[in-house]
Amino acid sequence: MDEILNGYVLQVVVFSCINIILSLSVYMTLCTGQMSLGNAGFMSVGAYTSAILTMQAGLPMAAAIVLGGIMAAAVALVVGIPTTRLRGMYLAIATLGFGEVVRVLALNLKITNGALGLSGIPSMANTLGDLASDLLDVLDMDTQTGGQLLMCLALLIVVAAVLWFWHRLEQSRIGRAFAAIKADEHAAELSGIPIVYYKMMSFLFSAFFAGVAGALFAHTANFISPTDFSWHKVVDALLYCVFGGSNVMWGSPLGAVILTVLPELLRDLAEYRDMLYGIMLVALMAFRPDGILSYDVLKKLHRRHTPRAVQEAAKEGDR
Amino acid sequence: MLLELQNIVAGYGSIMALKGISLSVPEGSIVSLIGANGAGKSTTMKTIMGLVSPREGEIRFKGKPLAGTKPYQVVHEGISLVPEGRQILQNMSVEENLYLGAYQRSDKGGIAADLKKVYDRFPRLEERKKQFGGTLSGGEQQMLAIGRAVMARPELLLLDEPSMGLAPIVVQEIFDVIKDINGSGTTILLVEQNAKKALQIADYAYVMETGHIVLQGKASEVAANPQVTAAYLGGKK
Repeated sequence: MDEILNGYVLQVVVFSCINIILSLSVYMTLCTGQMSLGNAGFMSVGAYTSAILTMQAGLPMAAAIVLGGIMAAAVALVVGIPTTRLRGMYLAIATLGFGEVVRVLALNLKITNGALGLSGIPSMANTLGDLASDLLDVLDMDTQTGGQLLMCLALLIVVAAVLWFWHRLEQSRIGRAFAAIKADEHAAELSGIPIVYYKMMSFLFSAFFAGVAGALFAHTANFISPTDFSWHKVVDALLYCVFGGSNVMWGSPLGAVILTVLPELLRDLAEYRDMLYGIMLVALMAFRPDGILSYDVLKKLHRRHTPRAVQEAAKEGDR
Repeated sequence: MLLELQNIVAGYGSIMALKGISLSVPEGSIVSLIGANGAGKSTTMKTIMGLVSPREGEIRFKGKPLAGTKPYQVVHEGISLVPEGRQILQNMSVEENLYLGAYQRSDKGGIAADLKKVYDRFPRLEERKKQFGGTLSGGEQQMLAIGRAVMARPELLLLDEPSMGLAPIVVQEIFDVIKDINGSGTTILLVEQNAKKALQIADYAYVMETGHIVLQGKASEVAANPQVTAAYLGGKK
């Protein structure tokens, strides 16, 4: 038990969870066919907002994290008015530019403490450990490991909630509009879908969850600086998304987990690690350009796990 | 008049595709708009839908001004367009494509009834309702595009080149369907290069050339006009 629940493994779980939320936020804009690369910027806004609110205003952490997301969405509302009218690589470049603006602002503002960053951000592990200290005593666990364990659980719950929310959304009327816009903007518009409204909506959701991911990062790393939110971050997130399969919701979390855990497993290979990582990416794109999970794969899996009787009944219904 | 265009000037960038056109579509009629490539027929359709905004002039639908409204608002007012080239959603099923047409409606019973009507009209679509739109033949895609537009239950249906690229036997089928839809009370504005067929089913016709309307009148009169016969109907009758 102790071997599995050591600090290192828990740390990898924490990073995986944050990366899942971040890559889902990239997936959310891809859902309406927008390739937005501003998510590192929104993550930064969320992280700094939450850190400053807890450190200087003394807000409870949960409230600060949500406010971090809301702040990122508010910024997205302003940025989105011009950018949701852009398409393809123009949108990608414009939003990437936005991310850099945020980074440079964070580098130069007093409240963000410039290049030194903010340190001593309240830690989620400590907060949760203190909250549940009685429970941890009963379980005979020290607050350090117990707190970390609780933090992992909290993050997993957040990830599950985000997945559940987006799954529900995709099944709804809004989700149908998103899918239609992604498939053919022109046809969607002619079918009476207000496309700018829905593209903006997906952009705001994306920014909100990127902000939440940033806030969670701030409270798990306990230290943030502008370099944490450079454009590498969003390229990574996009990579998770495309690697796992950018056309289905489950692709992003899968990609995020694999690409977060894999470099850790390859640690023994030392300097060959990055090379192997690169080769793997190239190979995947060559053999499965749609990513690991695609619509067809999910359908097949679904069929395999549906009892035969149900399948027969469904077939009868089709006729 | 259900739809009226007055002195519409519209275009793309510095190029004016419509140089002041006026036309009117009476309720319950079929009106055909014919002309060569580049005459401005499709731009007229796009301007009515709000995809292109007019520089000058006025569009009135049921007496209400329409210029400057967004496409989704135009659909809400009761106009649907079957676009040129059909624009079927390739990776969605036939049924999903049809439901998309009813996007702005919330009357579940009415939508189900209309879906049944579309399937009755196009039994081929019902056979293929689970198939992806992209796997249909050209004619079936055109049927799907028409079905999708009808699902919005429009008062005015705009059809842009519905016969384009289809086999003659399918073209006849499509024109029969257009007449049928008109028979059930939907007004139709039809843009066609197949002038002969378009004039046959229409009540009124307009002939366009390079952004102007050069001839208009009852379809039978337009069809009898010697210039039209020479230019669009293959010479002497």
